[in-house]
Amino acid sequence: MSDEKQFCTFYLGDRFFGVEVERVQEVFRYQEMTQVPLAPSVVRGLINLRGQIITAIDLRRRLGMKEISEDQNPMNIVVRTDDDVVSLLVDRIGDVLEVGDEVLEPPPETLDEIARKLIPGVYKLNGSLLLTLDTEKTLDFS
Amino acid sequence: MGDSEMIQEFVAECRENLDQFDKDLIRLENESNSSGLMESIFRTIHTIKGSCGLIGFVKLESITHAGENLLGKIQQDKVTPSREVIGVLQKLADSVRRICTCILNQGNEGDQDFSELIVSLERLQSDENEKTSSNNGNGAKAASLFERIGGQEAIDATVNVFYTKVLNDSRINHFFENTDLNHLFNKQKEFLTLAFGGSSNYDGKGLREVHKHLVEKGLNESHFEAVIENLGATLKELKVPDELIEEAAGVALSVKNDVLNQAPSAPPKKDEVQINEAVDILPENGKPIPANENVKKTATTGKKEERKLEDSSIRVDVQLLDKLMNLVGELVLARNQIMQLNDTHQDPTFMETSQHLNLVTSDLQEGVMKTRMQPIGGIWGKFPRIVRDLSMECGKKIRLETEGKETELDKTLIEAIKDPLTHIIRNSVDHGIEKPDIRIDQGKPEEGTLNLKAYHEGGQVIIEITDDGGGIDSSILKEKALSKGLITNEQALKMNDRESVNLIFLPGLSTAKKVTNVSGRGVGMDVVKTNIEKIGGTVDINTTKGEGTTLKVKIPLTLAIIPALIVSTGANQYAIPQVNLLELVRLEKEQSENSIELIQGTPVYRLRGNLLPIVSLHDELGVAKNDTDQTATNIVVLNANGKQFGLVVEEICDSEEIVVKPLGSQLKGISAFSGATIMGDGRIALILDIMGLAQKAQVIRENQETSTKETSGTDLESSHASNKETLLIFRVGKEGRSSIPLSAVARLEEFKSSDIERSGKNKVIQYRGEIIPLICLEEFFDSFKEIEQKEAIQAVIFTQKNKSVALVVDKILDIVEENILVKRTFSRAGILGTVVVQDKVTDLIDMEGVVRKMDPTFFEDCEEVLSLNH
Repeated sequence: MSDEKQFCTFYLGDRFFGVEVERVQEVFRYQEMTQVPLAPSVVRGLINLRGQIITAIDLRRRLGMKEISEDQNPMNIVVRTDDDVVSLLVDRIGDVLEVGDEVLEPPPETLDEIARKLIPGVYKLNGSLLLTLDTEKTLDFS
Repeated sequence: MGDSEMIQEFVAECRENLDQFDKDLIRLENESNSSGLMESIFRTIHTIKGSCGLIGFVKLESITHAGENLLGKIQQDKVTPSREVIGVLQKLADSVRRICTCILNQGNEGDQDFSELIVSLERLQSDENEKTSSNNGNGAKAASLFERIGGQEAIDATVNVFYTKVLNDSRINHFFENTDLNHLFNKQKEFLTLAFGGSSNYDGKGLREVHKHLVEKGLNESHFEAVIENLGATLKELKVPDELIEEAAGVALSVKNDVLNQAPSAPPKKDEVQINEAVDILPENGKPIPANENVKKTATTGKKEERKLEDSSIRVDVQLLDKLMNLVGELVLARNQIMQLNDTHQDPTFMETSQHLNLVTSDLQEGVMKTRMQPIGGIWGKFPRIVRDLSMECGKKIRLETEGKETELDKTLIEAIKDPLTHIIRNSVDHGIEKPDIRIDQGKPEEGTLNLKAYHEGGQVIIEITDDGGGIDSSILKEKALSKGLITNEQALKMNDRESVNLIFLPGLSTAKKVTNVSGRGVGMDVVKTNIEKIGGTVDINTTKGEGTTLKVKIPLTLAIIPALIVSTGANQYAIPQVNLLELVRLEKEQSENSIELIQGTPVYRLRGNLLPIVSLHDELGVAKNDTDQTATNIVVLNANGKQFGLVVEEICDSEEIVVKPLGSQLKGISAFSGATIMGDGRIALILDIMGLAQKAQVIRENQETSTKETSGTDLESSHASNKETLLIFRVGKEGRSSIPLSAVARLEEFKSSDIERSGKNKVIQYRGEIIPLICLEEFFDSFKEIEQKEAIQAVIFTQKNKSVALVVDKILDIVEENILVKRTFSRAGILGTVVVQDKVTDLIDMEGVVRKMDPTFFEDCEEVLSLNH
């Protein structure tokens, strides 16, 4: 029997990512952010989510990808970690997918260093590759 | 009074515990002994015993101690919780309650004697027979004293012999003149039957009534002793075993107390309450004792009084309070939003309602805050013990004085400062105060003094720990720090006394010559400091060698909601905690030009004769200003760890109560912010960490010397006090390498040559809707040379308030940040000196001089110049 896991999927450009669905608190549209001076560039700003202040992380910047085109506003995926709630800024939200670990493979060695650290596995789906994202490591960039 | 508050708290806690204790006892009586239940019972008494020992209630302690022992035996299954045992335990609870009432009303434990209670508690635990008796009433009866003595017959015989003896005893026989002896006989029989554990109709009142007139006749303790003596002799005569006689004597003792408590002068009502209690505490082996109407009535009134006291305090889960606090925080935010709407709405009803909301919210906030407040004395309670134990261990004599233990602060803060304070006290005892012989040598009193003082000041709680010990030798600290490589030689030389004393807060530093049990491991004061800073507090040390040390701990009252000043710079708003705020200074533009001066490149402002270093917020945060041509300068005068500095902000908005929300862990590393808050309009404002900001701007450290000669005399924004300077390097002419401080540069622009126009003999250019003069640097230095005609010219825009001037250069080369040293001073006009930048000789342009030469009025009043320029 294979282990089935559910992933909340999203896109950065044409790359297809997923975070474990239990980690995801909610998804919402782009919202004005308060910029934090002196913060690392990965931190895009702070969002007031119904009275809770959460940090927005630009996932493109975190993965060393190019900036999103200016006319496009990113979406927010709010994920919970052990001691924090943060929002990941992504281009587009996909479906929630249930995938089995028989199609799971570690990422190839040739992936660049940052990506290899943050992407623990790749699911080989029909027609696409789902890259899983290690949220803890993604948020640890100090 | 802190003391009485503590006692009140203790009594409230006792009563609460006793209620639980009663419930548990009843459950124990009805259910089989479950270990959890027994544990709860044991813990209750143990807690009471522990806390009354701490406060010093000896009587209470001895009673509860006896109770604890008995309970311990029950827990270990050595004694069965029979009805008799439970009865005595209930009596114990009643006695504790009575003492508590005394404590509350009179401030002492009262003069009631509870020795018989203790006796019966002890008797029960030593009574091995208890184990064999079963739980039900019959079994208990079978093992009771009544049965063991020999039942009703024995009692009857006892009473007969006893009264014969009593009537022959000259000490007491006069009491029985004119007494209905038969009645007394019967009552006595009934009483003894009951007292010794047999079933009886005795209602507990008759004997007292019978004795009442005896008391009036002067019946006192010595008479009772005679009676007990007679009783003992009687039982002996009847060949009752010794231990049973003792037991009987115990019962007689309790009678003595009951009877004698009925002081003739006391008001009857009180008597009855006491009777009621006395009845309750008799061993209830038989049927429940019917109390008469009167007793019942007084009992209920007594209870009512008790309830009132109990109702005055309840226990609430701290988590619930936290939740309430959060909700109030949200309410405060909503209130702020409404108050903002108020400014735009003119509807009087709305305004009135929102004002009301405002008031209620403030009251509610204050109220909820108060629920979390606790007197600091709560944690000080254990310090006398610590000091006593430690000073014994160290062979020192130390007196602990405390002041202001009623000072209140938030519960979470109290918890948080507990350990740091304990540590500081340990340190003072171990290192601070000297041994008695040394103290005498130094002419100090043999006994050292450790003073704890707490008080409120400016919305903060200040705790001072003062010892009159040897003080801290800063030179030793320096040496230690040097030898451990914590500081460099250079640093050590530069340090002043205050700074070197603060070395004590470095991790890994200890001045103790040897590591003792108590302290000296060098992991102390830095932890103390970090723990205190974690809760937004500061710790300050003041020491005089040979005279003592004072540690001043400042902590905020609460963490959740703080008053703050909202300022804005660039696109964002920022909140400055009110605790750091000293005053606001607004300089109109003419003023600010003159009053902000430069010392070695560091802007300062003379605030009532004192130099105030100026830091600008947008420079520190690296954000662009919203509005470049501002009319006035706003300086927020702040206090960071005892040092003042001025923070230049673009706009001062309002002062508001803000709800502190933590920043995510990704932003924890930014020392300039301590948190964030949500403003009335839903936007987020970052809370400035003034300490962090001051450190970042290097206000807190002593300013280092810079050998740079700053050229731009009007640069408000340059805030870096370091000797590093950012320079703009450009070429003038073919070879000349020149530079100006980047801070003096407003913009770099490129103009088309064809756009240059002339106004009089000056070259001007239209720039952003203004006409600004062009100064060609090459022409300036070599006025005979015609400037080369190029398609585009590069210019450095220099802005002073509303006025700008463009310096035309040949090519912008680079921007460098470097330590610069003036190598040579030129006498040439327009050049301040020569520096070596990137290994190349570079002229430092005297911007002010250059501009002044071309336009002498530039630095004068704006309006005038503008009209001249036109």
